[in-house]
Amino acid sequence: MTISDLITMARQNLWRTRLRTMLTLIGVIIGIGALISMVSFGIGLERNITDKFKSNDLFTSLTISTKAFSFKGGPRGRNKPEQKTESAVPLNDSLITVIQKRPEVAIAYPRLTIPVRAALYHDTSETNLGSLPMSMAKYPPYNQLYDGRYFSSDSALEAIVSLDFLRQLGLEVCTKDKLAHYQQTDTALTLALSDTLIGKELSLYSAALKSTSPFAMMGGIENMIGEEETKVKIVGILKEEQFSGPAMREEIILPIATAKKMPSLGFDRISDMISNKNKGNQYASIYVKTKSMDDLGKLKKFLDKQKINYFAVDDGLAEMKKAFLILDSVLGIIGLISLLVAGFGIINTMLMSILERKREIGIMKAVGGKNRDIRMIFFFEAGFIGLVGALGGISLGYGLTRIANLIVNNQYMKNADEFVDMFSFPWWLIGGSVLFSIIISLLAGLYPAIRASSIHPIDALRQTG
Amino acid sequence: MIELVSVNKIYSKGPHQIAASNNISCTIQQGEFVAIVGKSGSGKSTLLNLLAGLDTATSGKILFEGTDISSFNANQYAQHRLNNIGIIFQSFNLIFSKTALENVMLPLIFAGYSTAARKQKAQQALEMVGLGDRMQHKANELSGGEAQRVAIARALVNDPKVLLADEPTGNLDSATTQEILDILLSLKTRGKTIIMITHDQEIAAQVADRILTIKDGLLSE
Ligand SMILES: Nc1ncnc2c1ncn2[C@@H]1O[C@H](COP(=O)(O)OP(=O)(O)OP(=O)(O)O)[C@@H](O)[C@H]1O
Ligand SMILES: [Mg+2]
Repeated sequence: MTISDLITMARQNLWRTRLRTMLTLIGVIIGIGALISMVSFGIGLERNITDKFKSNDLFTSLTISTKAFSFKGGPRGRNKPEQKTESAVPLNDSLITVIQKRPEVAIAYPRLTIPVRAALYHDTSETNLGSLPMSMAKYPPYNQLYDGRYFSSDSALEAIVSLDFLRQLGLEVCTKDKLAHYQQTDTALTLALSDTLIGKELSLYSAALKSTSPFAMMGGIENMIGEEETKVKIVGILKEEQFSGPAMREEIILPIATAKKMPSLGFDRISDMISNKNKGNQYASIYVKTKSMDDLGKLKKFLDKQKINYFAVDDGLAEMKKAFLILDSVLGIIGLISLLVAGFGIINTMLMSILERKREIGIMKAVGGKNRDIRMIFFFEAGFIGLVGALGGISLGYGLTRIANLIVNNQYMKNADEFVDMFSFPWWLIGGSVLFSIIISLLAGLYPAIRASSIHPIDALRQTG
Repeated sequence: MIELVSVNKIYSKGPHQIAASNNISCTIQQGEFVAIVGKSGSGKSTLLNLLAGLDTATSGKILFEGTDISSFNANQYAQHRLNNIGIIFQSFNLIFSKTALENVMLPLIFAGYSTAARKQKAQQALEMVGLGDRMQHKANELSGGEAQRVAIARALVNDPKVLLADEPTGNLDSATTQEILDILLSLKTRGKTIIMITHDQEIAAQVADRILTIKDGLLSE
């Protein structure tokens, strides 16, 4: 008996009792459909969230700061930030050079944060200004702006602004091609086309020390500090991100050299001035991006050894992974239970079919069929149900998840930039569920097959039918 | 060719014991046509089942070409039937949902022939019993005589040495009975050893070289 004989026989026998076969199959299809849609939801959720993190490079970046916070709180994830001691090494340009030279590091640059008052048209808004080097142009989210382009040089008088910042100025932004089916979310805002904003001049007013001379100091604080204007051109608009990285909290971003030159009144400078101790261009924090996720771990080890404080989001990743594993398991178990129920359906069907085909089993034995042959015939029928059920279940699961996607995207995410696929069907899930379905079916077919093969031929032939 | 030595088959029903085969000893030569006659319940089918290896004797030896088959296991019996024995039943025992051709091909599937060889051999066997034009008919669309001829083709297809027939004409009218007997006689001329059960003395006398009578499990010439 060859495998193709067994397949042909299984097909014929199942087709002969097609109604019953269909009903049994429906059980398997629902079981696999439930399993696959549940698990694909779990995986999809995990993928969507980690992708968001990844697209912001949270897993390949960290921020070195003078004071460090740790996620490693008490049990049950009470991640209360806990203050550590101050970094042993001053955060200055020579540290940046050291870090930049490490093989695992892609980019390291100081984070300058300057509070400004920004004016566009006639509206102004108080906000924080950040800065980026040219080398960040190729990394997300800066490589895929909402509209416009990255800076032309480190010292260009240019700015990239966030959608949030424009909203603060009363502008709801939209690109030209999306205008047709745009639904305004907030009627208090004025709709503005993004390409009309690009090239517009933005005035930034920052506080600056007019003079540090003792004479000026005697005249009171208001004589010492004044506002200075810097004019920049908007060249790009940042996309909205649900999970923003440490480099992205600023609503206006300038090229790094331009930002360094901006008159400002940083805390460091005041404290320097008061303590009268020149630490030499110290920064509050340094942003470091590594070449890969593995490199981040290596860099962390290096920084730990150097007693340099840092903050990295991926500390929370392990916890998150564990939570997803639990979620996937729970969803998987629900699917599994329905598949087990289907397994009992298979056992029932097979036993029924043995009763009906008792005489046939006797005939096969009488003409020379061995017990193993009979066993294989029934085994293959069970496996066939498992395979067809799996394929049907995968189609069902896939169809259901597409419908769920459509409903969710149409009802709840009307203005989302792109279609959100809530589910994920990796190959291992599809292959795994086929394999799993066949295994469950074969297990379900095991007892009926053994029982069929152990029927005594004379008993079987005595059955009239 | 076949030798039975003190074969007993005892069925126990509570305190009652029925000796369906009672100390049977006999020898059947190659190429012989042997008829076993006896009344209903005399133990004819029991004896045939023992020869076919469908059942095992309580005691005694059954030698097939010198090999003792009485201690065979189920697997060995199946192989024995596949190689050496063709069985024909009173009630035909065809698979109704399958065609004549498919029914005849069944033993060849277990024997491991290729699909093409199966088809060719089965067609030959069906032509030999005069059913070349009924091959694609479903078994339940055939008349009794036709069905029994399909069953004979199935018994022959593997080219066994021995044919065992349990009342092959029991369900057939006299004309059809004659057709079946003619086929069996023609098989004898081809060198098959045939053991046929019947309760009809006349039929036995017409076709058999030798008649064995069985009564209450006891066999006599
Ligand atoms: N499985 C069994 N359990 C108990 N008794 C049995 C069994 N099979 C057969 N017998 C008994 O053995 C005896 C012989 O039965 P067997 O079937 O061989 O008779 P037979 O000669 O073939 O009869 P018939 O002409 O009616 O077919 C009978 O008395 C029958 O009741
Ligand atoms: Mg009988």
